[in-house]
Amino acid sequence: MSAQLNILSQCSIRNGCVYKNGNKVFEAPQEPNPPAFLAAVYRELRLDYRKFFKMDNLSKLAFLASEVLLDGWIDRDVPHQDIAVILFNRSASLDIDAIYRQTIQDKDKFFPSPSEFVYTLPNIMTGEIAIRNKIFGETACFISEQMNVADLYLKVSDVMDDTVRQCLCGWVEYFGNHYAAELLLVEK
Amino acid sequence: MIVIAGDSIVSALGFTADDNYLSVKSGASGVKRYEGLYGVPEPFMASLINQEALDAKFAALNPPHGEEYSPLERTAILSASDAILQAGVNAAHPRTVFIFSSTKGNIEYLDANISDERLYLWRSAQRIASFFGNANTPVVVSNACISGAYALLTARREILSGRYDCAVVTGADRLSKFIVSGFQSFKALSGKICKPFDAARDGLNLGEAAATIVLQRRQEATKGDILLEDGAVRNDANHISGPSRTGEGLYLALSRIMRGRDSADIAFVNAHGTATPYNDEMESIALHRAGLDAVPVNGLKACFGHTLGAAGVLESIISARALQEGVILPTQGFEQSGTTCPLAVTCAILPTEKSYFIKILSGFGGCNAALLFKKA
Repeated sequence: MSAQLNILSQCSIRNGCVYKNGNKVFEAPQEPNPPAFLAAVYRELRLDYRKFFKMDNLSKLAFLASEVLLDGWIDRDVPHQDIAVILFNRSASLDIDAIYRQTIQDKDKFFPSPSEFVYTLPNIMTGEIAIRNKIFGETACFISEQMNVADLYLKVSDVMDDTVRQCLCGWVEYFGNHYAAELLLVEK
Repeated sequence: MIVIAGDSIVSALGFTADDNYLSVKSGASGVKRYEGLYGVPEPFMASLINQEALDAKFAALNPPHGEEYSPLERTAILSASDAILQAGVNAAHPRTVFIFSSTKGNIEYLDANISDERLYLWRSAQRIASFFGNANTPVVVSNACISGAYALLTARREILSGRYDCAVVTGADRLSKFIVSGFQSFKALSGKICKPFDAARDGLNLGEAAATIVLQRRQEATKGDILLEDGAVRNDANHISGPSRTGEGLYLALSRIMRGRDSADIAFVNAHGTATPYNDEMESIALHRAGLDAVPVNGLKACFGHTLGAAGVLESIISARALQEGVILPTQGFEQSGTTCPLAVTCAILPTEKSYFIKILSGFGGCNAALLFKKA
């Protein structure tokens, strides 16, 4: 079943740095806290995408990594039915879950804004990437204890049937002070 | 071919697939009104598992001494145990994989400590697989409300790839203050038993359940076996919480599984049918666009509530049992058509000679799933 997959593009975001295809393309001047770092990456990329500011940190991280990854590879003006988005992480949406849980301790805020609750699912980050890039293909989120490249390769190969040309895939983890994104764009 | 070798449901309506199927056929609903539960300030309707009965049945499995299992894990293990027993498979075999689907796992432990290891979905999955002596790393799917269907699709692929011969697919979610608050913040909950596809529908009911399907590779199917023939997932690329006005992702998923197939062969579509105004409307549009508007449609949310990560597995089991028996189940709560594109929503038990059914689900993040099952 599993076809040979070619890597078209790569993006890593970790330890205050952004890498594209192995080259460092941005480094935070000092060691900022993770949300401030994500905001700095957004500014560095000169993006104008208001939805970014509504996202939780996990989605922000996935979104920024996908912007770097797809730069030059996708036409955002046309729909893409043949691209899939398959992401993995360790902590699901626990980062925003903890914030949501804190909010509803306060009796007056027991029914917070629905836009807060919606992020308490890890696959929302795949939806954000799909919306931004008009990707209508398969989107999914798997949870695993640690990143396992061999397992990722098998899962992505399984997804890539004759209706799928490219797959945006990889690992996006954000919980407390720890974050890491390792994304690949692959083609059969 | 990939066959349903065993199944089980633990819900408000019973502790086996038989119990649950017969309850649905008799017109029962597990949805009740709860007041003051979990510290939720307003009363709400939900379908909840009888905890005492669950604990007694779990104790009868002789769980290992010194191990603490969460309510979610107990529910999942109980359903997996029953399905494995029925299937007669060796759950510990190296060519058997466990696949676990949940949206919120043990989220209630967040109240005590955010670094509690029990909060991790992969940890619950490992504990479930270990209970049955399975040493393979379990696969964990968390894809909002389509999780259960995605777990079944993933299981199909794991078996087709040749890596495994058998997959134990368990979907499970338990209700908590966290989940009830979230759906209430969306104003998505109905104050009555929900009414899928009805003109007067005004929201969903939440439910808790664990459901397990054991899928197995077979060279030949026995007459009456239910096969998981195909499946597809597609995104709306439209909104993270609002259903698409054109039903785009669901339409595309349906088109993918109907490729080269005739809608006249489909006995029924078991819809997501959450009974929120927008979801059911979106499903009606997608089914029309996919040329499936003449096919009978039913929904089970008035029986079980929306069981989140379990829904795809649970509703596939009930539908598979109906197809096996040659019947189409009614849609409890439905009286009068209430979607722009009219659908053939069922009101009574109908006979069918046809051999396929479709299960559809849609979820936050814009994801939509369609599964195709066939009776051998």
